[in-house]
Amino acid sequence: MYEIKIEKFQGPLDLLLQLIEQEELDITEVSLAQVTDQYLEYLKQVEELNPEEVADFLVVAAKLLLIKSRLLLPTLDLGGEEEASELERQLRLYQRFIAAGRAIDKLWRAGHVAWVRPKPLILKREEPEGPPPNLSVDGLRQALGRVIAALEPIIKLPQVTLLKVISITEKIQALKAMILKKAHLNWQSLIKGAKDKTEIIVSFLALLELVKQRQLIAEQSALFQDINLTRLEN
Amino acid sequence: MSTPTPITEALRGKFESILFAAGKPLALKKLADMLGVTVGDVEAAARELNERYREAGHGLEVILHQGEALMVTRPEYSDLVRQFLKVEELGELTRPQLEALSVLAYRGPLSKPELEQVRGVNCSLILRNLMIRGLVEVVGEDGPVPHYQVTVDFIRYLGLSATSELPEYDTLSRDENLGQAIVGIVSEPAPTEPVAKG
Repeated sequence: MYEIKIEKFQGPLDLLLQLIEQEELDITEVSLAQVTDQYLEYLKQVEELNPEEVADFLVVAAKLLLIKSRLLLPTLDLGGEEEASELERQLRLYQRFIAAGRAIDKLWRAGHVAWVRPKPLILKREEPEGPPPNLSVDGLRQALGRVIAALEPIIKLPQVTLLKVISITEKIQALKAMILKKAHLNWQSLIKGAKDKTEIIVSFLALLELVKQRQLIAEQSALFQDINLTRLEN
Repeated sequence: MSTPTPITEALRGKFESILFAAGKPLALKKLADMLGVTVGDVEAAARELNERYREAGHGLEVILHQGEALMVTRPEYSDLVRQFLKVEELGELTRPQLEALSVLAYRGPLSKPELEQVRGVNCSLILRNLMIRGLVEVVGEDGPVPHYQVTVDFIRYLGLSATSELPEYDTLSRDENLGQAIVGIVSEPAPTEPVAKG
C-alpha cells in the first residue's frame, strides 16, 4: 500500500481528485476503482468530520464501491452504469472548476480592482435644486443697502480711550534693556519712576521671571534692604 | 460588430450620463424604459461605449452583468484610485470560497443543489459567507427555487467588465457535457429550505 500524502481536502471530490492526481492517473472508471481502497482508508484516518460531511463522503464511497465491483465482476449485472459514469463526469467537471478557481484567485490577488464612487451622488432632497425664484440683482443691492444702514449706529458709538496696562512682557523687555545698558542695577532705582502700585508689582514679577530665566541674579543682603541686580553673562 | 439597430450618438450619450450619475449598478430594463429603447439597444450602447473608452484610452469602463450595468474606473489605474480613496486591500479567498465562486461565475445563476452537485459537498455555509462578503447574491427569491450568482462587485474586484472575460469562459460555460452534469441532478425535486437572508 502506498503512503498517502494528501493536503487538507475540501470534500469527497477534492479527496478523490487528489488521490487520482497523486497516482498520475486520468479520470476513468478504472482509475476510480484503483483509488477506492485508498479513499476508504483515508476516511478511516480522518477523525473530525461533522455529520453532514460524513454523508457527502459516504455517497461517493458507495459509488466507488459499485464501480469497483462492476470492474471486478464484469459478468455480473449489478446495474448502476449511469451512476458510475456520472461520478466520472462529476469529477472531471470538478477538476475543471478547480483550475478555473485558481485563475480567479490569480485575478483576485492581482488586485486590479475597478472602482466605483464610494457613495452615489444622488442626494434625496425635498427642495428642487437651483437658485431661489426671488433672487435678483436689484434685490441683492437693496439688501446690501439695509446692511449698511444697520451698521451706522455701531460706527458712531462714543470713542473712549482705554487705559494702557503695563504687561509683564513689556516690563521684562524694559528691564532687560536697562540691565544690558548698565550691567548693575538696584531695585529702588528701578521703581523710582513707577506711576502706581500696579507698575511696581509688575516690575517685581518681571524681575522674578528674569531670575527664573537665568538672565540675571538678584541679591539682597538683609530683609527689606535694597535688591542688587546683576546681569548673567550668557 | 453588427448591431440590429444602429446606436445613435444621442442614445450613447444619454446612457453614459445616467450611468455616471447613478454610481451604482442599474438595471438595463430600467434604462431601456427611461430611454424608450429595447434592452438590446442599451446593451449595444454599453458595448460601444466600452470600445470607445478603450480606443481613446479613457479612465472608465462599463461592467455588464446579469442585466445590470455599472460605470467603474479602469482596472489599470486601480492602485492610483485605491490610494486616492484610501481603501484597504481585499482579504484572501479560501479554497472552498474560490470553488463556489468559480462555479457560480461560469455557470451562474445556479440553485444550491446545482452548485452542490458540482462541488460534492453541502454549500449552505459557504453561500452565506459569500453573501455576507457581498460577492454572491440571490436572484428569483420569489420563485420556487432561489438561485445564486456572483455580484457586480465581484466582477469589478477581478478587474473584468463581464464574466465572459474570465479565462476559458466559452468552454466552461457552454460545454454540453458540463451542462448535462449540472442539470442531471436538478430534475430531482429540490429541497425546500428557507433562503439565508443576505
